[in-house]
Parts: sequence; structure tokens; C-alpha cells
Amino acid sequence: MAIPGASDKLDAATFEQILEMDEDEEEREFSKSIVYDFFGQAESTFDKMDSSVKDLKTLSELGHFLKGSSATLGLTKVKDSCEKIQHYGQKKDETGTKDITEEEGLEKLKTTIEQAKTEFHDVEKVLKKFYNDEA
Amino acid sequence: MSSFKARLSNARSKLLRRTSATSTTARSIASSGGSDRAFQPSSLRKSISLSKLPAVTAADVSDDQLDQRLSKSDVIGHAGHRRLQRAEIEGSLTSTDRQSTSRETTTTGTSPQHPPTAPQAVRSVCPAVTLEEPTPIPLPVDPADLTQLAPVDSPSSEAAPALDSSTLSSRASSQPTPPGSDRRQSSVTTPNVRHITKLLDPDTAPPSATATDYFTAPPTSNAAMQHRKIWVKRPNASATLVQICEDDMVDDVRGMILKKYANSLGRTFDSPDITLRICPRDGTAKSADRLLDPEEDMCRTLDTYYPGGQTVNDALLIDVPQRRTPKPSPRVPVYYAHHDESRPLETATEYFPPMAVVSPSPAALTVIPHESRMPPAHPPHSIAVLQTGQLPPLPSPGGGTRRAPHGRPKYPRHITTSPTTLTNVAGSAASIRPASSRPRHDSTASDTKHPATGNAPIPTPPIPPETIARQNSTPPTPRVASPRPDKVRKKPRKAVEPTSLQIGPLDGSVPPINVLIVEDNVINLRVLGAFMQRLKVRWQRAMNGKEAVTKWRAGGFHLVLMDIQLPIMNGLEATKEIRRLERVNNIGVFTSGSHEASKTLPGEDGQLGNQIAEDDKLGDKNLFKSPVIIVALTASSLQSDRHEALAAGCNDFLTKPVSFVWLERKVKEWGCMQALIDFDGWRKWKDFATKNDASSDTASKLSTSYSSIAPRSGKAGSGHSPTLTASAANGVADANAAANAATVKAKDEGPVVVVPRNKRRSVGIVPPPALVEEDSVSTPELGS
Repeated sequence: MAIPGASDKLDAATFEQILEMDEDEEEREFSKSIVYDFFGQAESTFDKMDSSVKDLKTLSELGHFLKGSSATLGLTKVKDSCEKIQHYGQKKDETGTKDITEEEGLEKLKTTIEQAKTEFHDVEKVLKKFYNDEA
Repeated sequence: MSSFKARLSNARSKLLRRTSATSTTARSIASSGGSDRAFQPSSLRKSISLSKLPAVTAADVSDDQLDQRLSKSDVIGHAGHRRLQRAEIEGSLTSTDRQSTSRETTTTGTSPQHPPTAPQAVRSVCPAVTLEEPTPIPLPVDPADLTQLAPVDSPSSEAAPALDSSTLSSRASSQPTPPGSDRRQSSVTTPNVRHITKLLDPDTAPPSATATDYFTAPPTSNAAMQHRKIWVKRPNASATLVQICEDDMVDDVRGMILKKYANSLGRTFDSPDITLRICPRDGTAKSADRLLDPEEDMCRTLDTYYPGGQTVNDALLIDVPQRRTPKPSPRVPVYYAHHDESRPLETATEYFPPMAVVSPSPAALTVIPHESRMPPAHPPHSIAVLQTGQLPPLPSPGGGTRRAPHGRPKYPRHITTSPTTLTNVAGSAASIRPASSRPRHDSTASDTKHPATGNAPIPTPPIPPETIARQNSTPPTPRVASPRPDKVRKKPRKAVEPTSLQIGPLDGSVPPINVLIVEDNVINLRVLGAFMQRLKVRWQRAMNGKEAVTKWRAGGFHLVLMDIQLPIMNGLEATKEIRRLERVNNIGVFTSGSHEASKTLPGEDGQLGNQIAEDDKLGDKNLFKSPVIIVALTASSLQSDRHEALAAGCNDFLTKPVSFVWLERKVKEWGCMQALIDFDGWRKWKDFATKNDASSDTASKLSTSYSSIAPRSGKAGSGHSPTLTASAANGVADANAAANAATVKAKDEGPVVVVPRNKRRSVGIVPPPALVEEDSVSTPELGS
């Protein structure tokens, strides 16, 4: 299942195991609903992030939350960014090993959240195209 | 064409064996058995059979010719079909003719054709030929054949007109009349003609038989033609003859073989299972063997391979597939023989037969622990020793397969037999304690971890060494034991199970377990849930740790997929809470009425002696047969997180994103194990599976099986319980210490006989000093 333009944004193996659960390869009902649910979830999560800019803990949780679902779908880039958000929110560096200051964290969060959004929108386009094509 | 040759030669060989030559030959040539040719030099007469006369394109028969023939009351083999020639005996006529004519009508198309007959020929050779007019089916005729044909045939006919007069071809050639030459067309191709001619020669030899043969021969020759015997044999066995029909395909032959080998093959194989191999005579190399295709023509193939006929040495080889059906373990009988008396019989026995025989050899113990895949390999040994009072002489049967060790080892025994051992004794619940405390010495695992220890984690790919070490030193067996089912419990359970069973999968791939998915992310939940659905596993969801604990407390779950980072209460906390509740409720401990047991204990084990807070009490214990398996879903791949999860009481972990392959594996592994623990449930499920059509039947059957188990287990339990009580009573962590203490304790309270057994059990590896007498079972310790 080649997904055009998804090579670096999408972990093929992970996404494929979702696709495999589709009963109908034409309709792709299941995976499509999952993916579109994820779009909604990501949007709302980003909104929440935007509205809690100063709340490191919340941001970290939101990052973790989105990390989980993006990982499940194999959206690697989004997942990585979300993991960073999670770490920064815990006042750790991006690998979660070293402590950073709150200011540093907030600073990095700002850029990382934006980056995550961009990556999300990129992969969203790819996926939407994929599903439109499929349908 | 080759088939034609084959048939010809075949027919010819028969012909040679028979005296009824003429008609047999004729029949043989025409595989369809269309006509007979009898030879009656003197009293032949021409009969009329006009129905099929007109319209054969193959022969240019003019109306005049037809008329001519008709006037002579001839039945004319219009298509020049030699088989159609027939010398009729007076009086036999019309009906026979019509029959054969009509028969021929259907077969002419496929039958070899012989040179045409000229009406003149009929007349001239007059002695006795009846020509029948068969089908007007147009047949392709190569005029060239005719010209070739005539010279071939003519000599014989001219040399022995009397003998060969029945042969129309010869007549045709001997009659040079224009119409005759006209009709020399034939659909018989040159090679066939040659065969036919060849066959015809012998015909001339035994003319005398023909008269009677006409009537008698048809049936016999018919049978002879259609049936044939071929040699077959199984490899390295003697050959046998199988009767087949001439035109049978290899597939038909297989069916016949099964009839022949009704016992050795017919009972276990269907004919498509069988393959036939043919070995060419000259072929010495193995590779020369060839598998026969089912649709091959058997006789043709044989004739090709064995031109002179198949001999016994040429027998076809019958190959059958290897049986895949698992056969009962050879150990089983031994097991029964050994232990029938030494341990209580339970219905469950047959399910884990090898376990009692498993030998806890030191070697096995040292080896197995290092195998990450099968850490819990020894528990069974110790259990076996405990229960049988014997050290089995054989190495573990499970050692050979990867699954066996962790699939069967731990629990099964406990559930089924151990409970028995424990029943009625006050301290039975406590018996677990020593064992559980032992692990602490050897591992860094915290106390909270112990319940999990009992479940002997199936290693995930990256398994922490710690786990293995722990298992080495501590056979988790005692822990693992699921609460023993007693009568009281079973009944309520019965009511519960059937409903859930109906949902369970009946395909046997995944056991009928109940999974709780704890996951706060809807997306993940949906994906996991869909996958569970696909595995046909029942599942419920919980969105946070607290909900997970609540749902778990409702009971009935075998497996929890626990996300670690959760709102409100995280996965680790939830796990710890579940383990705590299991502990205080003695889930997974040998118990029946564990509460009473622990209360009546003289407080040696403070923990157990404590009253369980009302809040912590679990509901229907039947729903908590064993500690639930908790598989942590960790988003991070950090080893430390895994250790943390294991420390909290998780049995296993999977990294997110969850690989479905791994998930399925885990569900199956743990699920199978839990199904074994919940043996009654499993039985019910199995019963249900077999009877799922009639649910009412199922219920009654279940109750029957209960009653059959319960009494025995209860009885046995009373016998064995003292041991366990004794060991339970003391909180010594070290196994030996525990055993010693148990001895002491037992001395105080009554007969001590049981102690060695107990010791063996807890130590696992230590060979018993002596076999425990079975009458120890009946020691009056129950009162203590």
C-alpha cells in the first residue's frame, strides 16, 4: 500500500496494519473513520494547546495524548513532535533526559507546537488525498 | 489416438486369451461396445435395419445404392464402421439389430471407422453378413486412407474369404465395383487401420466359437473390456490388485484403492489425500518416479509405461500424507498408572497429563531459566512432585516445545488439583505466603510485585533480566495458583458463564477471554477494540485508571491492556491497586473461603490475618479465579519504564504503537494461560462450543460436569490440606525454612507426614527424601 508522498511522514508498517483492518479495500470504512477522527482529535488538541500556552503540565499531557494516537496511526513526525511537547512540558529537554528551565520550556514549546501543527497538516493532506483517491 | 492404440492392444491381449475371438475383438475395438461381429459362414442372412440409413456424409452413398442394399435386405454399415458389421444368426434379428443400431448411434462419433462397405461387397461375400447402418454422424474422412486401406485388407479377405467374410473392409476391397470404391472412405486414420487389421488377423483363427459367442460373449466381453486390474502397493509393502475400469482416471483409481485398503487407509484418508506414483521400469533413479495427476487416464498411462502390461513389480506406489493429528502423549498412560491412586482424580487430569511426570531435574532447572522464552518452566515440576509425591523419572515433556513451558506449567495444575489439596483447611490461603515471600530474597522486586510474580510473565521481546532472575530463584507456582473452584463457587459461576460463553469465539484460535482495554485516547481505543473484535475476543474499555479498577472489580477479566499514562489514576497506580486488592482478597491463592482460613489462622502471617476492609472486598470470587494479567502499553521504549511497570505488578508490556502481531501473540499466550487457569470456564466454553446450538443442553451438561468434579475435589482437598496449612502458617521466606517451619508447625498441630511433600513443592527442585505416604492425606489435621 503505497501512500503517495507519505514516506517520511508516515510509518508504513503501522499505518498498514490499520488499513488491514478494513474489510473493504475500496471503502476503507474503518481506517478512514479512524484517520478522520484523528484529524478532529488533533485539531481540538492543538486548540487546547493554544489556549493553555502557559500551562506546562497541561501541555505535556496534551502532547502525550496526541502522541499516543499519532503513534498508533504511524504518523511519525507528529508523534515525535508531540513527544517533545510532552518533555518540554515536563521541563525536560527533547529527549526527556535533562532538565530545562520553565522559560526554556515555554520557548521551545511554542516552536514545537507550531512545528507539530505544520507536520500534522502535511500528513493530513497526504491522508486526505489517499482517502479521496481510494474512495 | 494413443488411447485408441492402447485399447486396441489391450483388447487384443484379451482376445488372445479368449476363444470367443471374433466378437470379443470387435467389441474391444469399439470401446463403446457398439456392436458385435459374429461370424457365421453358413447360416447368415441379411437383415434389414433401415432406420439410420440415409445421410452419411462420410460415404457417398447414392440413393441407388441404398435402394439396392435395401432390396437385398441388407443392413449396411454405412459409415464403413467395421464394428458395425455383424453376422447375424437367423432368428436373432430385428430386436437385436435395433438395439445395437441405436447404441451405435450414440457412439459412432468417437469410434474408429473402418473402410467403407460397398453394397456389392455385401452381396458377393454373401455368406452371412449383416450390415448395420449406424449413426449418420458425419465423420471426417481422408480419402487417402481409403486407398491405403484397400491393399492392406484385400489379401486377407481374398486368402480366406470364408473366414474373413465378416470383415467388410476385405469385402470392400475384394469388390472393385465403382460404388464400392466410392464408399471406401473412412474416418479411420491410417495408424488405426493398421491396428485394426492386425487385430483382425487373429479373428480368423477361432471362427468356430463365434456362433455361440454371439449370445454369450457380449456381456462377458463387455465386462472384460471395462474392467482391468492394476497392481498397486504401499511403499515397502506387498502389491495388490485393484480392479478399475478401462477408462478410469487416476482419481477413480484412488477411490478403488481406498476400498481395497479400507482399514489402513480408508479410515483415515479420503481419496484426494492419496497420491500415486508410477515408476518406469527402466528408471532406476528416484527422480524417475512420477506423481500421477488425478485426471490422467489410468490405463493409458500404464500402457505407456509398461508396454507389455503391468506386472507385480510395476505396482503403483501409494503415498499418503503424514498425519498431522496430534496423538496423545505417550506419557499419558504412564501418568495415570502412576498417579491414579496417589492423587485425587479430577476431570481436569486429562488436560494436563504430562505435568505429573515432568521431572524437576536440576539440569532442566538450570537450563530453562536462561531461556528467556520459557522462564517458568519448572513450576510444573515442583507441583508435580507435590501432588504425586514422586519425582518423575523423565525430563520435562514441555521442554521440546516453546509453548508448553509457559502455557501449561504454572497454573493448570493448581487450579484443578491443588485446590483439592487445600480445601477445608483453615490456613489454606496462607499456604501461599511462604512462597510469595521467597522471591523477595532474590529480586529487587517490591512487595507489590509479588502477585505478578506468580503469573510468571511471558517475556516481551525486551524482557528485563530481573524478571528472569526472579523466576530462577523462585518458582512462582504457589502464587500462580488460582483460587480453587469448589462446589459453592462453581454454581454461581455457571450462571455467569454461559452468557459470556456465547459471545466467545468458537473457532478455537483465541481462547474465550475477557479483555479490559484501558486507554484514554479514543483513537487508540477504537483501534485496539477493533483488533480485539477481529480476534473475536470480548473486551471492555476504561478511559482512566480509576475506571479500570472499577471495571476490574466487577470481575471476569482475564487480561488488561493498560496504558500507563492515564488521567486521574495512571496505569501504574491502577495496576498497583488491582494487585493490592487481589492480595487482600487472596486472589490467585489456594483458597476456598480464604477469608475464613486466614482469619482462623493463628496470626502468624499478619497480612493474612487482617480483616479485609469492607471497601476492598471483592464481589463474587468466582469471577476472580486468578490474578488478572496486566499488559502495560508504554508509549516510551525506555527500559526504565518497563521495569517500573513490572514493579507495579504488570506481567508484560507492549510498546506503542502496538504491533498487532505482538498484540495478538500476547492475547493468545496470556489468554490461553488464563483459559487454563479458568479451567472450568474453559470446559464450559468447550462444551458450549460443541453444543452451541442448544443452549439448554449446554447448561445441563455443565452442571453434570460440575457434579462430577466437585465431590472428588472436595474429598481430596480435605486430605491434602494439612500440608498446605502448615506451610501457609509460617511466613518464612526461604523455601527450606518454610518447609522446616511447616514441619514444626505440623508437629504441634498433628501429623507431620505431609511435610516432605510440602517442602518439595516450595523448593521445587529438591528431590523428596521419601515418597509421601498417601495415607497422610487422611491425617486428622482438619480440626487444626
